[in-house]
Amino acid sequence: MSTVEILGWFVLLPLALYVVIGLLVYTPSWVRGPKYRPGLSWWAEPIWIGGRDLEAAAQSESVREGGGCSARW
Amino acid sequence: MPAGDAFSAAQVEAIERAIAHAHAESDLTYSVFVGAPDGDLRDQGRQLLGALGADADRSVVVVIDPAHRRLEILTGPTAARYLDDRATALGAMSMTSSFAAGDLAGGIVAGLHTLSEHARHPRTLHTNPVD
Repeated sequence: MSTVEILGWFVLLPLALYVVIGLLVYTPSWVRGPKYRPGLSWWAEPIWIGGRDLEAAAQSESVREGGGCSARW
Repeated sequence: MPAGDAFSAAQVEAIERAIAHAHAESDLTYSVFVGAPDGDLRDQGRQLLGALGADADRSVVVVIDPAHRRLEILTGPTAARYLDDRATALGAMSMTSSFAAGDLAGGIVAGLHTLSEHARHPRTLHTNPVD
């Protein structure tokens, strides 16, 4: 067995397997997006979907709500 | 949760679709804030409601603090006529059951669906502007 063959079987093949298995494991979570884990700290930037510009909102006057509720999980 | 965005582009799109669907179904305006508030969560909601200006009256603002696992739903004065506190509590329950399982985006979509179902009301010509 030549040196190239030895490298192929014992280095390149394991490396290729490592990459393929890694891709199979991590691709679903990359596709799904970030996963929220209750109880762990939250570092993501604030986001207001369907709202206005958050920086402008920080300067606005508060308005008394008509109703609503609070909840915990 | 690593630093960066709270949701993937697909998740944001799903929430935006749910907001559009909820608006079409109930004729109310919905928005969802997710993040760590500067102060009290309800005060943050009131400020967001204020930032909506004239739209605040018919708006529903959902404020979610994932770090402290707290949620507030605020309705504008007119929105509260169609969506009472009991209905908002049902929407909150839809959300928190998914949040507890780690599905933030799915919970928001489900909660918006619950809220708009309860807020659905017939359009009346003398109170709704003609499109």
